Amino acid sequence: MKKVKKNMPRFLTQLFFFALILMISVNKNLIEMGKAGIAFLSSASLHALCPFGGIVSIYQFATVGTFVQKIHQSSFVLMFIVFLMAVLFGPVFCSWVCPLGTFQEWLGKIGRKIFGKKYNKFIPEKADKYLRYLRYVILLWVLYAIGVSGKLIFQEYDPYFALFNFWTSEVTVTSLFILALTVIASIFVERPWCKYACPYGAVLGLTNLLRVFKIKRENTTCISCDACDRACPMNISVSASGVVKNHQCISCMSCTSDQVCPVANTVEMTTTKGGVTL
Amino acid sequence: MKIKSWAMGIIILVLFFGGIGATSALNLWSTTSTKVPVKFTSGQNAGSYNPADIRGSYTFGEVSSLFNVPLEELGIAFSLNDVEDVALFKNKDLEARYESLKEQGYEVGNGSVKMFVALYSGAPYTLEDDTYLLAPAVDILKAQGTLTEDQLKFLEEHTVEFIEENTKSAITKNIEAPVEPAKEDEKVVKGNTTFQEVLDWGVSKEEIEQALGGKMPNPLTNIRDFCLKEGIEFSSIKNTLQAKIAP
Repeated sequence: MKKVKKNMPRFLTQLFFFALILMISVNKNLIEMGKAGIAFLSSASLHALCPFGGIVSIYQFATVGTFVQKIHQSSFVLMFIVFLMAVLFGPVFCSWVCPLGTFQEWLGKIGRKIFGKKYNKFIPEKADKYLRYLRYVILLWVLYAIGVSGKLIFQEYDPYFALFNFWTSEVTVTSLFILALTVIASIFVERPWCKYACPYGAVLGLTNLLRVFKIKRENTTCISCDACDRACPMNISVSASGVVKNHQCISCMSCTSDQVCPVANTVEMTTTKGGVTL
Repeated sequence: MKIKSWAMGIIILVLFFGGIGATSALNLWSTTSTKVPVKFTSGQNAGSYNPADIRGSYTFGEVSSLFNVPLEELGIAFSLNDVEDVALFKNKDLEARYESLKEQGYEVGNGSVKMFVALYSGAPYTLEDDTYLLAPAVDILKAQGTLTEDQLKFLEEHTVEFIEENTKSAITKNIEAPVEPAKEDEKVVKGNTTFQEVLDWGVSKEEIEQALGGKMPNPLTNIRDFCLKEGIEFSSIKNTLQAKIAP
């Protein structure tokens, strides 16, 4: 039996990207105010550093040869990098990089302290099951609305943009309201935006069906303690899976033998064959 | 093959920064729009940059180097004496800086920079009625002595004086009744308007093609970009389309 340990590499990676995006956003604002800014740091807009900007620009790029307003070539580059990572390892962007995901996760620690074992179990399973597909509806709406208008309409609703720009006039009341809702919901549910509303998570979630490195559970050594189920922020029943192909998996690796699984070599991210897809 | 957490963290950082580094080396990494304005293709200004393509995202430093207007004069023209680094000041920030003027209907923004640069450099430019210049900018232009009678008359009616100490009571001089500034949701053809928006505002494809004198491109195309590319005067297309938009 192994002692459960904190996923320090993930925590440090999340912290790094959160701090980086925050500092870039502040730097951009300093420079726009005519101040000197932080010399060694980029002053790019958050739109230029968001890989989802690449996704929403595909249609316009293919038909007109230009990007959606406020989106730049860097978004395309990041889109390809994140897509490569997702094909190899699943949606690691969501669990290791995305600052909004990190922010919700940190807020969730407060909820976990308040509610203990009840935390992340407030939504009835029946409703939850259908709500998980809401993000695909949002994805289709975003792609359609941006496709026909050529404008970054999603910015008006985007809690990620609001989080790192709430002090600027660029942020709409609607996005601040959605951010506030996300903050409150994070106290009850882990990663509510990721689970129910994130259109980019919806895209990346599909790679769980074809990723090269899969989360696999070795049935012969599993002691059915359900530790993996309890650790999963997305409420996936890992103990009932041989290979996790759930579209909600974010590849956080919390369920693995490297982290919470008490038996070595039982739940792992691996290319080796084995496990049964349920 | 198995992946552990530490390896995953390292792989993510390597893929991210390796990808950014590689695309930077190939000149594919760009976090801003290409800041190269279109050039005049005919006339005595052929080959030089067209001030009509100056964007709100341009900094004064970029405008200065692209159009050979001394940075110091740009700073004086737009009264940026309190700005730490004028070269980093963006055109689009003029609107916020002179918000009190905008509230009174006298907009000083990116259009003002275009107009100033065009008149300063003697480039062809259609003066637009809803664009104003600050008094120091007009003084600089007059001192050059190259303005035509019509331009001088236009400037007399489009000069605005800004009093910093009392922004709410900024006074204006020699100006006509102001043109109401456009609000975000108003149906106004601007520099970033696409053909799709004009279609959405009730103008038919046939009417647009009539105004263009040719086929309309993909509706997602920016009207100003299209006009500049095709050598069509944006302001006249803008006015024609604006007239067709239902109030």
